[in-house]
Amino acid sequence: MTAGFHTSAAGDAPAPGGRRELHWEATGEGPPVLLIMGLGLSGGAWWRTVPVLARHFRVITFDNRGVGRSHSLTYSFTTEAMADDAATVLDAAGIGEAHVYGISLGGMVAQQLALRHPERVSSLVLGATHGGGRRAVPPGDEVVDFFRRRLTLPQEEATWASVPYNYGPACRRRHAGRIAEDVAQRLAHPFPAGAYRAQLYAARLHNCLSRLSRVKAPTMIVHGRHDRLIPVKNAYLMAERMPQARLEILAQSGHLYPTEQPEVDDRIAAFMADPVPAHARR
Amino acid sequence: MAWSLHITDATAGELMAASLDTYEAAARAVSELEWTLARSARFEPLSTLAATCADITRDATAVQLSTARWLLDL
Repeated sequence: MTAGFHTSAAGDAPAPGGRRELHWEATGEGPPVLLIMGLGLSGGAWWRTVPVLARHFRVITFDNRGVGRSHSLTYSFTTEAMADDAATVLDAAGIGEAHVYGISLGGMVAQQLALRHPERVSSLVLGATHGGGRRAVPPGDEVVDFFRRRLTLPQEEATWASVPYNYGPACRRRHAGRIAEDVAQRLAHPFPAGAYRAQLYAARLHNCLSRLSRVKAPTMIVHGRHDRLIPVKNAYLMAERMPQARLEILAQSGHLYPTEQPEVDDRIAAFMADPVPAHARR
Repeated sequence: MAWSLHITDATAGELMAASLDTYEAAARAVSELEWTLARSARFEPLSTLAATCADITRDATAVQLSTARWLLDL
């Protein structure tokens, strides 16, 4: 994991059935938080968020199947399967119930976790994600074309070429240094093309929108207004289905808002500390 | 007439959603059983076979359900 915080525990969790190993790490002390990363990225990609949350929580990160130090025998991925993986990571870390925060594809996995294993989710943060199904708002054609071509490009070129899609204009203008840090982190942890394709397939098949109203855990939805990968309308669609959810639209951000507006991590930590504010309790 | 048609549509949608939920619950029960078998089997290839069956049951069902819910807009 990238330097900047101290990992207090780590291990490999056997996925359901024991045929797959999922690498996880824990940082900090306190109520548990499970972080679920997005497409093609390892748990180490949470390096900006972990130190902020670890001030108050025991933060668990893990490498999704096929990525980083987690292995997979097959490239048959679904968000349901990835949610079951996340539940076994909680088992391996000795955690019954956790605050769950997923970003992008990780947000889709977090939705499935809340639906398939509701007893494991004490609160839910859905970052830069969508509920899937026919009503999900797709990205523009240019974005779709790029992500099809991405795998044909050399890793470094592909990572830099994805910058205009991942970050909003304000961040690209003012925080080029942060983007360079992210790129360096990603290049240090390259992902196999097969796992990337399989995760992309899982994201395409994802469909939870109609069932989001069944999620009982207090929920916060966070989305960048300039997100080109998963247009911001998807956040409003999810919020319609989850009337109790707190919706935070970040005016200056694109898809990777933890880099663009890192101060949001403090607000997410505050939400997890008190997901149902006193005035909302009966 | 339009009102009663609306009610009928809603009921059909609810029935389809309930049917898919039941199918999902049944498939989960089967895959849980297969995983339990995989974990408790003390010899190969039974353990690997049961785990593979469990993965296939879950993932194939997930694909079917996702497709059905997408087509039916449920």
